[in-house]
Amino acid sequence: MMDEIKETIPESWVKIYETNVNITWKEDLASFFKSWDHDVNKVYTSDIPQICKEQPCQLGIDEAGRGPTLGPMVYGIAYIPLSEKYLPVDLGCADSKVLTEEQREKIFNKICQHRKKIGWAVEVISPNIIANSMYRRVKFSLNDISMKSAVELTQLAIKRGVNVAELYVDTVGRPEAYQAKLKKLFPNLKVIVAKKADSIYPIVSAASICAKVLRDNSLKNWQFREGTISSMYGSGYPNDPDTKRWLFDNVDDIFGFPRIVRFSWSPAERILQSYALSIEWEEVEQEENRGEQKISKFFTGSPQKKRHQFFINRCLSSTSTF
Amino acid sequence: MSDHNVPQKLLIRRLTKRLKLVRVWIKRIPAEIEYFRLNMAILLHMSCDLSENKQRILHLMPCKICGDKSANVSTYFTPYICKRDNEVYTSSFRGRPLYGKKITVPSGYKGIIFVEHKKSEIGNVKRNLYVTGTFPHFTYWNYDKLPTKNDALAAAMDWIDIAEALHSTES
Repeated sequence: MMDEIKETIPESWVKIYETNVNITWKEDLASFFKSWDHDVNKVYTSDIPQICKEQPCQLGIDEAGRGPTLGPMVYGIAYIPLSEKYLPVDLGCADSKVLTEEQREKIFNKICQHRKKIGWAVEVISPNIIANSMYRRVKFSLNDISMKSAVELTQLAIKRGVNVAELYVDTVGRPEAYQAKLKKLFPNLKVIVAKKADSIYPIVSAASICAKVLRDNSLKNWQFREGTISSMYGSGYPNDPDTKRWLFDNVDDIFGFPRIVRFSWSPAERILQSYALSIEWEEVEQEENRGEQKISKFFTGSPQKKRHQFFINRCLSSTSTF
Repeated sequence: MSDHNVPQKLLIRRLTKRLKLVRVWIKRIPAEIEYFRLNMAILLHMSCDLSENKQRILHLMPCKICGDKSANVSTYFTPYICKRDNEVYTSSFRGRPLYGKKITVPSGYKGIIFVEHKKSEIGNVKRNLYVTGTFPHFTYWNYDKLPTKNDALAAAMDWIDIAEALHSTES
């Protein structure tokens, strides 16, 4: 499943590296997301602390917003010098799921304050890109997207000069295969992939908090381009009654939903099946039993005049009506 | 109704269900055509202004939308169209990735949109189609496939040159 890193679409088409907005605390996120063309992914990296270039570092990776029907999935990395490895614990980094939103934002602000020691980066993966990937002719799954994002964020940090020595990764899938894969990509690093890594390794918790705070704020600051659309969409999780109601109330007969929705998620698909006009996608014409001739062909009368291949290839046919 | 609107020769090629290439040969075109008898059954009402200000933007989708109503194209679709390299456009429809390309209506042809208010269920009944606008170009969209010269639609444009050569009168 994770044998190779497949290309989604050309790199330059999907990633916007934010340069205008500098995120120094949680309050900067509103303007960060207002400037986001939410149809494509967005990557942000904090300034690289000088100490992280000079000393060997540990780097944690985690994601937020894997399950919801609405909004982006966010991948986050955080890194610190090995000499400072207790700093995340001091800042209160723990399993982001047991912390309240307010606690997470406080810790996020602390991480931003310690910018001389901790660095972080995120990739905000657009719901549109998620749907596009899953609906490709050759499906690019959520696992493929996750893997690609985690690897690219790490590569970006290394490219920008972070002296990475150890890699800690949270995973929902089988850790062994993922670990082997990462080890191959980063042979010089110590690689540890574990389930619930964000509750075991503080640096993964730090990454998890960055991802989760960005995910929450992306949803809060969503700019609809589809006209006046209600923002009462709740948490975005399909079991949230607000999200459910919002999905029902915001169906467009033809286009389906505003692009905050992951169209490929089954709750969204089910609603469109019942409440929107059905769509028949053009299929590539099946070549009919090429090279195979039925014996009956020789006994029947002269066949119908066959259209020339020129016209068949171009879908051209003669008609006398509209 | 006078005879001069009846074509001497008529050739319609179907590109897709909704897009057709029509070549007509008529003796002379009156200065102002009000209607045009395409064949025994179909009457095209041309009285509408065919000038520039009625130009429409057209998207040829790689799917059939099972319904017939106006769509919020300008809010749900247009804002997301992105121009990429090599004249390629990208967008999405119902979450599916689309790659598009603009095609200009070839010279000698005119892009005209007709609307039929009530389509007769019975065959051989006179049908009335009314002009609602014109289009100088349109975008055709492929589902998860970059547009190439070999796409049926792009290739169909070859027919125009061939038709020109085949059907032109010798001078």
